Amino acid sequence: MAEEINPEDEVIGKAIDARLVRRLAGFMRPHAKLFAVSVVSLLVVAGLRLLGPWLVKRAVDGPLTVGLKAADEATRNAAWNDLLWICALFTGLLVIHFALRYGQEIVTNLFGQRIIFDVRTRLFAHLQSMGLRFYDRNPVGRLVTRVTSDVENLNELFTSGVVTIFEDVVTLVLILGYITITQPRLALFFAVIIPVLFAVARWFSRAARDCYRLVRSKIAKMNATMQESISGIRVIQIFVQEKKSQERFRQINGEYFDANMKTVWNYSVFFPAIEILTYVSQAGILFFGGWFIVGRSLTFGEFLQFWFYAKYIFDPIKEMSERYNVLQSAMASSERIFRILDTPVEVADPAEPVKPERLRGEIEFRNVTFAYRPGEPVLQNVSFHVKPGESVAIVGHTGAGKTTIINLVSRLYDVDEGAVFVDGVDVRRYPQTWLRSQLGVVLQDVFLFSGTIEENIRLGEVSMSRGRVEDAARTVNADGFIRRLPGGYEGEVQERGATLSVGQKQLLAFARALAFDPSVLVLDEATSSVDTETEALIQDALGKLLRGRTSLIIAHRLSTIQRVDRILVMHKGELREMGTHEELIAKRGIYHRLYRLQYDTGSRKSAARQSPQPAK
Amino acid sequence: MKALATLWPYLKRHRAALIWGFVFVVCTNVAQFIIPRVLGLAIDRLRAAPDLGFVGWCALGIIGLALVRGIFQLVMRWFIIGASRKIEFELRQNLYGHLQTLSFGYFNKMKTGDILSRSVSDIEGVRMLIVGFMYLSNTAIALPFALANMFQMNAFLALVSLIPLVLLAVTMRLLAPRLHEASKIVQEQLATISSRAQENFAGVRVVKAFAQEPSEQNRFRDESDKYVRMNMRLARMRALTTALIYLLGDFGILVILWVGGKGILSGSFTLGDFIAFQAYQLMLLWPMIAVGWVLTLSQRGVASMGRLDEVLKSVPEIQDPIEPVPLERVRGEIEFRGLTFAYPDAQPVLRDVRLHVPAGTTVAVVGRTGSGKSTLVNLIPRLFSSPPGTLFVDGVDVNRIPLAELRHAIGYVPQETFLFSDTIRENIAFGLANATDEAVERAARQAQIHDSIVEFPNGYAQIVGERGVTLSGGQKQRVAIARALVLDPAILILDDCLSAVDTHTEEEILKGLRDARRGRTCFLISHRVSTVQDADLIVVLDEGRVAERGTHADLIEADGLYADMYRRQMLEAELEAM
Repeated sequence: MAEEINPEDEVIGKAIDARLVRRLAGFMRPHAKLFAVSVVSLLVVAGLRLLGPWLVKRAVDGPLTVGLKAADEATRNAAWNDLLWICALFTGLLVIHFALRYGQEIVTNLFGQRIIFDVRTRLFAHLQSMGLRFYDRNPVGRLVTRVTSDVENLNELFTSGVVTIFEDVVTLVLILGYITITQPRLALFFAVIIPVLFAVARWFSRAARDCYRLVRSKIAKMNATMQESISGIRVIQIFVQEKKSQERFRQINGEYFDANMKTVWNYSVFFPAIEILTYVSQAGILFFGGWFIVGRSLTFGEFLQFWFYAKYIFDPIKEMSERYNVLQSAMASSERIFRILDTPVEVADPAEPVKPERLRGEIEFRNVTFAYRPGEPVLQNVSFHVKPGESVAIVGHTGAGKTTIINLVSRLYDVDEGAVFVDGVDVRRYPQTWLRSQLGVVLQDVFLFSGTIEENIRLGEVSMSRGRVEDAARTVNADGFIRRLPGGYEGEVQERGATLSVGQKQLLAFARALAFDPSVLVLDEATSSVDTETEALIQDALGKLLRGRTSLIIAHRLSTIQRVDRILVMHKGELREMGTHEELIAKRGIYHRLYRLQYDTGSRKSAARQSPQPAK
Repeated sequence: MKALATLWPYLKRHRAALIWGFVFVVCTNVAQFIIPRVLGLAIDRLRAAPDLGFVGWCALGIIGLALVRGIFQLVMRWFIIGASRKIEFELRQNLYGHLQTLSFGYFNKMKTGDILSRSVSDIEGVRMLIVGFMYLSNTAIALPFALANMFQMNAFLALVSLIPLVLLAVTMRLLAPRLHEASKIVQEQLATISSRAQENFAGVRVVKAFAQEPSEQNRFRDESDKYVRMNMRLARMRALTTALIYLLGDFGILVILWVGGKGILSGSFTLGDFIAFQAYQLMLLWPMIAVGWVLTLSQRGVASMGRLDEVLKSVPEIQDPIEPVPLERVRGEIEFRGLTFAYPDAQPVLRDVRLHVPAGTTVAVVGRTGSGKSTLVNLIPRLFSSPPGTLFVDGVDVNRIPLAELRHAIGYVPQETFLFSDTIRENIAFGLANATDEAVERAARQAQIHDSIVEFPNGYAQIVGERGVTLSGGQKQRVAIARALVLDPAILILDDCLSAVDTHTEEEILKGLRDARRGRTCFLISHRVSTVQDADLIVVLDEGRVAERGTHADLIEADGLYADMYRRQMLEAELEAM
């Protein structure tokens, strides 16, 4: 929650950057029609609203003046009739204006939403094509911010920015133009008051923006403090420092209060200031209007018309300065969005990909060296060869580079030196998704997506039948427990599978792999121990999975190791030993020790438990 | 309004500001409602005779009134909104204070995000109740003022112009909750998109391994599409709201034109009345909209208050004993007498533990993960309450010792190091008010972290976790040790607190702590057997029971769990060397 403010997110630049605008225009182009409708209806709406005061003028200078002065009944009746006509027109105007404004706002929003949809999905698609290195570099939170908040900022730009600024400008120009033509002297008065209004509004929107940022940073700091004290509650309580911790919080709570009071002050000054300016302009119109009326160059009707127009000018000016802030933050967001869209794809598909019918399942590492971070090699000059149908276990201590081997086979990363071959072809020459769809991967931490059990087995393969899903589950002994779950195959996975046991998740992952019937099985065994019954189920399922497939297994279980044809021993990034279990044990090297460390304890432990407690 | 009971004392404390604010609500309205009258007067005079002087005075009068009104409004806002912010501050401070008293278990149940949202949005919701009061009282004053003036000018017209205003209030009352609902749905959909993206980015390895990019894109597209639809629903409602406000506002002009026009023709209404009337209508526009809006706001405010009350009224699980037995000076003798302990709704973690630790001795507790080591030592400072009659410090049941007294006697180094984002000095001196620099440095030397600290750019003034300088895990753990040592505690608890350093370093540090351990009862938990060899007593826990106990030599000879762990560790060291 207390999202740390990324310095990158706070950079605010120009309100209009030509280069960015050009690229944004590219997103607008497909929706040009909506844009046109939106703009045209907006022009009409703005124009219609100006007709109202004009009708009032007509009424005041027409029937209301004529009728008042008229002595005879007939003229007065005619005036009343005229007035009714004007009222009818006014009613019509109101209805049309209502309908058009309603429609126009919806069209404008639709325009914005469509663009936002395009930007968001394109951004996401681009992120999907990025390699894992990109994800290693960029924290998940930041990427989520890109597809959510930054895109939302753009939405502001299109719905309340571009189009409405246009409306504001049009309204201003129309009114000022009209006044200048009909009453140039009154226009002079507006020429004085409008810049003042602009200045006040601009001052305020600047101050408001600064305050808003201040308040936000204080909230973030306050939340961080609160979060810290919740995580550290144990330390605070054991050291009996509740009071001190409250004092610490009082300080930041106070800073937040001060920041808010600044905002309160700004608003308390701004609202009255704008009201005062409104009244000043009214008083001005009253005085100058009165002057011109006395001089017979202005009618009462015109006076009223300008009176209304003066009000209409205020709102757009108040809002235009507000829009400036919207523009600014939208530009900053689009900059960040484009930066991601411009990031080139690191692990790219080849220009002329090789795509055989099906893989035989031969794997070869030839002098592979690889580092996640430059200068810290995880694999060094690793070479081995796995024949089709052969099952090979990789063992090694933590950090020996086992998982990296899996990552390289499925080309989640590209090697730094050497090459990885599958069926004698460099993996870089296959289409990535095709290659991966040929490999059945079971990772150690079984990642379950939110969705049903069935969806988690089938994943996105919509064409896969329910029967096939169930067959796969049955084969790997997962069918039984799935049926016992609430909802069975259609049951939603709760909290990313927190309610499932490790063994159940493992079986689920097996089912997922088998459902895709891969030529090569790549398996990172779960380390956690499971009860003997589940263990038996897993081993049985594993046997079925391995049958007829090339398999590469990071093994943690003794029974798994005993099942495979060959064992590769990784140590400190190098392939140090290779052979069958018996050969390696006989060698009395690394494997021998690993074996004793990892697999040779169960019996002793239970033996120890049975032994009587030593006397003290 | 039970929920408001909590708020009442706060309102009472700030009653002066609130009452003054209300006075200025009245003043603002008085000044404001004179203006249309002046305006009308000027127009009528103009119509009757070309008296520019009078109009000039009227114009100046309007400006003067506007200035006065503006100042009143400023003061009103400053008083009321200021008070609301102060109440917000106090509420939050009290919320925080109360959270500090709640036991550790509470925070396992309550998500941090949930607490933060109460501290920010719910308190804001309650504050809006007060701001709403300002708007509502403004309407309550403005409405009779305006109506009185309007009725005086033309009763029928006044009645007719009430129609759009009442309609406005009613539609806002109807629309506001719907708008709120719709925008909540939009927010929720955005949250769905966000978690969808979050899940995808976090599970990118699986997505790629199974070549699921296209289907993931489709799912994301579907959610985005749904979001567009939700947004459009909200946009339609918003569009309706703004269009209605325009419509009903302008409808007022139509009414005046029509009814007022008739009056003008019959001579009972003037053009000045026309303008004044319109001004009054306009003045009522926002107060009437506010009524509908404030009612919705207050409902939410009451709900927020309820959520705050939930936290404020929860009772701490661990409290001071009702009949405390004060200890003169804690010596540090600890005894577990057949202690069985279980967390709520779970199997026992510790079973029938019997252990007597004389003051001043060092006990090492070893065992596999989940064997109950941490729980055992967490019971001593009462992070969780042990059953009565099972755990004694200096012969007194821990449940009967005043909490602060007990905890002051304990130097605790937790398994997961937690340092505050403050200077290193403040972190070490955390538990000790007025700690001298010498004391801090002495503790740092004992924890063997002094030499590293002085090498930081700002030495002891270095802020933990600040950009550029990061303390390694091992350094943080040693700061935490210093933080415990500076208290000069009778009981020292080291809960596997050197896991971040290698075996050799851990051995070195513990050796260095030998002096510091002298004269204190010390609990030493480690997952490495080799580092606890010199303890006076080694206890091996297995599934919550004391499986073995004795000195290192005893246990090796017994060739049980301990001996097994020891051998495995030796093997690991061998492997590391290959």
